[in-house]
Amino acid sequence: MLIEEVLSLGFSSISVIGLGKNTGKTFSFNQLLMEACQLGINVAVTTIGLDGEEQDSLLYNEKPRIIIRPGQIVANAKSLILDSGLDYEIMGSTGIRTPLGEVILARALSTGKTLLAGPSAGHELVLVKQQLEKVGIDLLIVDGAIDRRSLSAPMVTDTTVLAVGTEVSWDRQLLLERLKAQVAILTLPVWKNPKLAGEVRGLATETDVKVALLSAEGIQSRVSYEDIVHNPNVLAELMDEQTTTVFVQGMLSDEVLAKILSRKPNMALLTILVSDPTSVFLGKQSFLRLTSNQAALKVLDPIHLSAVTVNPFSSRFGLADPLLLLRDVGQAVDPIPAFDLNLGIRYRPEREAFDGIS
Amino acid sequence: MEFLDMATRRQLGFDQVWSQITPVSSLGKVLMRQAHAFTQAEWPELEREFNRLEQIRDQLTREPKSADNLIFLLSAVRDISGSLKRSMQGVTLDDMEFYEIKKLLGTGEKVVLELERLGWLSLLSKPLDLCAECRESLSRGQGGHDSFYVADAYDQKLARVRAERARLERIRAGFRASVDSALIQTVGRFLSMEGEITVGAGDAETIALLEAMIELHKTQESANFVTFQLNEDEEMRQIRETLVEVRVEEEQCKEEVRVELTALVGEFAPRIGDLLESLAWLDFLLAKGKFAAAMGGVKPQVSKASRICIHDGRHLILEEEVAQGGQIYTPLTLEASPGVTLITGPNMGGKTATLKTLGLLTAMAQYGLLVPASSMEFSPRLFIRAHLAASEIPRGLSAFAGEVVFLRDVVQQSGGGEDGLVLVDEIAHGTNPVEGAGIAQAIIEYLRGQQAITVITTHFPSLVGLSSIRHLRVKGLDREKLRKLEMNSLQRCMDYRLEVVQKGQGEGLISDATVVAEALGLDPLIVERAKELLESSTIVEKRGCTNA
Repeated sequence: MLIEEVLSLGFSSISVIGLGKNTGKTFSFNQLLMEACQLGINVAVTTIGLDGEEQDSLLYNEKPRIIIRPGQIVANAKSLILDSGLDYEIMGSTGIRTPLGEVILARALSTGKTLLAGPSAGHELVLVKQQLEKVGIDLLIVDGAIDRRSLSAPMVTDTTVLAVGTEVSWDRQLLLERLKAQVAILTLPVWKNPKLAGEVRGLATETDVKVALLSAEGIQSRVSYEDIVHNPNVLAELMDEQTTTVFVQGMLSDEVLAKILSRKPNMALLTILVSDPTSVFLGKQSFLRLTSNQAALKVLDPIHLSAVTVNPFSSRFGLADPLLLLRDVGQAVDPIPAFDLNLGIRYRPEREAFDGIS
Repeated sequence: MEFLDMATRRQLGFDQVWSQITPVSSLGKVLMRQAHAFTQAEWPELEREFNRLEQIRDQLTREPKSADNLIFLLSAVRDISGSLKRSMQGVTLDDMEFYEIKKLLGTGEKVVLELERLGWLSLLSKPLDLCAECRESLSRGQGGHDSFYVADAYDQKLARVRAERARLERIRAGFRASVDSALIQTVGRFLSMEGEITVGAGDAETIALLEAMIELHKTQESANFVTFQLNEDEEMRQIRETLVEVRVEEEQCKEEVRVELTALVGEFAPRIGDLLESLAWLDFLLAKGKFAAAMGGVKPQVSKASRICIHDGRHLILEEEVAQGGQIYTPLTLEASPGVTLITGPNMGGKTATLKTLGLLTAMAQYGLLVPASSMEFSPRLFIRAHLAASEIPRGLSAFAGEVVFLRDVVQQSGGGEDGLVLVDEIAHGTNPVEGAGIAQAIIEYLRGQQAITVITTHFPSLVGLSSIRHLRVKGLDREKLRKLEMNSLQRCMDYRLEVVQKGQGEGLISDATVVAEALGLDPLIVERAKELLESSTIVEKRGCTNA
């Protein structure tokens, strides 16, 4: 079971995000919940945002529901809990407001279906997670969001499952390109520099600093966004042979990256550092420029990606060959394992084979 | 009459200081927003408030973190007044509302334990009413936990129906678990949430195994996959249908319990409301006490005689600004009584700061706060009004017109024989000096006979000789020291302390305007020319005394 792999790695929280709409995120979420139930562990569920619901209301489908079983805990909007028909015990309140009422913690005392609506921001999710940990759970499963919103769920949870489907693109080449780009961001390597990491994190309080140049010894110079606007060459002028790393605070855009990469030629290999993968807003061309400039993009706080799940169903084109899709996706994201949870199989790229999962 | 108007609050820095008091509950914050100054008639209560704050300050000075647990408890107090109101109106409350009420009552009990631990029970004017019977009712059959649910103990019928529902659910779960178990043994998988299992169309072996299971039937078959679904036999179908009915019945039972509990809460609602108010009051009090400990506040003595007497008073905002500038702050020592006190002294000598400090500390004391000083004695004022030189000018008025409007109002307010505090910075300086001095003198002549305490700063020489006023003077610049140091060391050479100028003992003005201008870098040629003009001028009095 996928959930067993997650737990064996010592993780206690997992988020499920989708590459786009109708990628099977809710199905994957429910399968993880079913697996947790099979293992008999204490599990809590919540969601961030109302991503799935919006899309489903557009398609006039039933909104995604999850099945809750006795003992499981939900962090959910008050009205959804009270109207769920479940027998429940109110465990706590969070003070987090949603259009459907405050997010509350409740332990199910019966079996039933419910919609989920949770906190809408990462810091709120952190609060919910902390409260759930106090209640005492083995695993938190978060129904996450990816489109138009931040990757806050993966940042808050220990690990993440990414759902991908043909709804994103029926054209396999385009689908795989988008998937690879997203996986590349989600799995950006961590910057291993304990000596300077604290100093860089300290910049968070200096809100006017947009870019900091670092040598092996520490911060060389701080540059504000205004400095960059007034003098487009300021970064190139400040960078010297000692500059090893450029830290970008907040969003890393194509524009800022271009200014960093316009440094003098023949300079040493450069690391471009951002807080976490949610800060990266780069187009395809920018990633190519990074490669051609021998620059490495790294993060202070990484995201852990456990698995990719596939959904061959497209609301426009119908059903793609599930095995071919799983094979293509599995090869594209290798070494991250790829699953079709509906068929209960996992692709093994080293053997070009499919294994059953149980 | 308004004790402290918006303009005065802003000019004195009262709002900035007030905002440093931080209650942790929403209701504590509401109390803080609604707070008003104690009136003269409320001085016994004001005394009690000071005593309470002293008690908190002493404890927090000794052990700064000792009240953290209490503060944490108070931070969880939520405004449930809406639920209480609805309960009294007979509107059935929901489970979340019962949870919040139960939680509040539990918090009340924990707060009492904390107050006891800290030796602070005496802070309360009366013991907290914890509505024990109500809490007991909201906790029935729930094992003493803080959570809430409509337990079986509330209603025998509910217990019976719930047990039946659970029994039926167990049968269905058991049936499904048996199928899952068989599936795991046969094909290594289990059913999805919807009770389905899908396999690839090419996996003929698995399909054959699933086809052989009587608990499953095929629902979908395509070129790519085959889906099987859990069969529902007659018994399972009946259980499913019965479950729907039983769940409805269970919900009806629970609703009846909620109606009963709502009636009970409704009876206790006024007492629970009192508890809520007491906890909010405690939160606000603790926030004021914490603030007092942080700024080293002292208890002001309430005087029956009309006077304000401050020793080493500190204006918290100015003190911080001075410290940020790397300078040493000079605290204020001053005594003021009804009538007019005139303050003179050089530019940059701290005259405006004196007015601000006097006004701020008086306002703080009257709002029931300990004050940043070594001691303070005061008689409660009916109003405080300030007009400071650098203050904002009301829209549509010139600086002088703005001041005249202010003076018009304070003359009216003081004329009623009421105990106010009037602070005027550089009176009538916004018009030509001759007319300005005339207006200033007329105002002083009027106010010196009133009950209000009026403190005025001025550079007009003609005012210092007026009778029946008190004259204080900033000691001023040490010119010798300034000569030895850099000219830009002005602040280090200024003695900001006030001295009383007795009649006939050199009431002349010390403005040191040219010295200050020179120290601040005005062109030396201009400064020299100014000095020449001053030497030959007849309108400026000679220096009355040497600097300290």
